[in-house]
Amino acid sequence: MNPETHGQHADESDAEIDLLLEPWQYPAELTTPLNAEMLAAKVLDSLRPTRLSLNALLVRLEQLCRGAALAAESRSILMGSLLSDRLELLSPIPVHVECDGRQHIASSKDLGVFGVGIDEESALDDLRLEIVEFYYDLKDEPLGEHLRQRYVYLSSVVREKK
Amino acid sequence: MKISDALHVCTKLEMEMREGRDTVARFRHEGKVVTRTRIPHGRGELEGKLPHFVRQQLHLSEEEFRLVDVCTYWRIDYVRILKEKGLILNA
Repeated sequence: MNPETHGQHADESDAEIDLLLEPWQYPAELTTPLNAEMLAAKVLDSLRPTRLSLNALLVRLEQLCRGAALAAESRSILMGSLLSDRLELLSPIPVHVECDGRQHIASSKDLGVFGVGIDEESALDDLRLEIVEFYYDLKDEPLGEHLRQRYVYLSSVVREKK
Repeated sequence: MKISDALHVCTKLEMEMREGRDTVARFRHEGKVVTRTRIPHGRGELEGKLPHFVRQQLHLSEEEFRLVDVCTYWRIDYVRILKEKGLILNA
């Protein structure tokens, strides 16, 4: 570090501290340990909001970093097969695969279902099983509009094997 | 979220529960299945983003889920929430 610049920064910091201390104007009695302690407590108190803001900022930054790392581990793919002896896919299903730091999760937003596993492949396998189960679970049921739309979509992209 | 909490919520909402590979719970209203969720079997805890997916399938916010879990909300409140969210049409 450039000593000259460093000195300049130190001067600025000192000036900021002086400004902070100004309201208490250094009473003569400050030299006693008790008063010095009280002043220190007041200064710390006045800095508390700044410390809290900085802590909140740090937490937010950590969250952003974590989010960025997780985003790097998530991706969208097209699932081309259900690997099922009961159902076959007629057209690929868009699937989102992500790692949340504890497990891998594969999900279909269109169907509102998810699969989970210790790695991406096992999460996708779990999702395949779930899609088949979802289909047969709803097949002969009267459905509310929301689930009906999902079932109609699924029915349009799968076919039962004979 | 503990698996027991998720199961407790499904029980409180009087959902039809079926045990298999995992627990599948379906909410039926006036004969129609309106929501369906799946609670993966595991080691007692739904970790990471799994609680988000379960709540999403139930169409409950984190707060609504908590209120059902801690006894303030019951089936009738869930029906009201689903109506507000347009999943159950007002008669």
